Amino acid sequence: MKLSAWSRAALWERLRNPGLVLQTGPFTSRVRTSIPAVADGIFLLYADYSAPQGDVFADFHIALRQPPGLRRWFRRQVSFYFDGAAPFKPLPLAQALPMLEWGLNWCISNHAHHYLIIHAATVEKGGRAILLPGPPGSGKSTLTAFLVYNGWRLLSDELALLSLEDGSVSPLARPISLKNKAIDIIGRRHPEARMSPRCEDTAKGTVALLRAPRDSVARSHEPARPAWVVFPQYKAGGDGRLRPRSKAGTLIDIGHNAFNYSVHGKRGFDLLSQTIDRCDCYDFCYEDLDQALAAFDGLAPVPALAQAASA
Amino acid sequence: MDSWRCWDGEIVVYDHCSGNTMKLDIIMSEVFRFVLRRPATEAAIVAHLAATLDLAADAHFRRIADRALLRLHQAALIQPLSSPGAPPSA
Repeated sequence: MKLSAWSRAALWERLRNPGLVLQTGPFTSRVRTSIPAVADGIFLLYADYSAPQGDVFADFHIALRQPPGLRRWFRRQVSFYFDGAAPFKPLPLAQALPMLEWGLNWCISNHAHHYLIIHAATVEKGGRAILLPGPPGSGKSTLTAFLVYNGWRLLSDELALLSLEDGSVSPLARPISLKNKAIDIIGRRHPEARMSPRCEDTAKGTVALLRAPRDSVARSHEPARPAWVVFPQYKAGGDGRLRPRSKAGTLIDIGHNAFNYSVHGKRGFDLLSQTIDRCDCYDFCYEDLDQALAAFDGLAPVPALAQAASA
Repeated sequence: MDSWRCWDGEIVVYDHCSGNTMKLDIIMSEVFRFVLRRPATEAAIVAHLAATLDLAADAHFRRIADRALLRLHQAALIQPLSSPGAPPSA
């Protein structure tokens, strides 16, 4: 049953007790909270996701709660709990919704070691995926948001899940975290896209969460083969050209961007090597989203048959 | 035994002992592959490098080759054979 079938009141009641079970890609999370902004955010951002009912096994049991005592009322804070323990320091209450997303990312990157997990956005077209690794500030979330509202499927905004069995990328389509100017850029280009309220003064600046496209969520069971690794960099004067990069250097850089490469040892090395073997690797410096879309569409042109069918 | 892969002349090595992954530059990659085939003296390695890269084996080049050998040795990817004067092996 999708969350969109629930009323706001029913969602609120479930979140408070015994917790709402959400299916996001291959992971099931039981979320508990009494914070209205989190409930509102889940209602907005996760409407297209499956919310299994009944006695369901969950991979992660998480909660967002206000701490007891003075901080409940003065300079109010929120804490994230995983299996009853708080792995992080509290944040201002206004950051509760982004904290849910950051906390879920933490749960996955620290526990889902049946994947090789890379800090990368991933998009797909025609069964082939582009891995977009890069540090914060490189523009990958902005680029990802634009691509997935222009013909590409969202596999992940933050965590690329590489299967240890066959090297495919498993979808983890969740809300895309936009920061600072990107919020207005995407909002102007795609006013139809649903976004959470802005959250100011986070460690990353101003943050808003963009709802994942419905089609991306509906296809959460469809893995894809990595075919390209592209290191994006948003930069004034960027020419929007894909420049081939060293495969050896790409393996090292992806390893640095992997959360659990050292956990897997040689198996991780072999998997990354096979991935690099299959992929064309590029640096990509851009200043314009349309320029970027054209470059990426050029990687995966629509086959002639599909073009004729859609005409 | 280390695992390694080569793309366009650049080698990436996974060291099973330390768990480290290293990228070798072009010169280190060429030395590594040469010594993998068979142990070689330093002179033979320098001569091979010079011939492969089409460069003169002058003093400057020999310093570059020495540095590559040292870095490979420090990374435990090559080692001198036990008998004095014996060539290094991978």
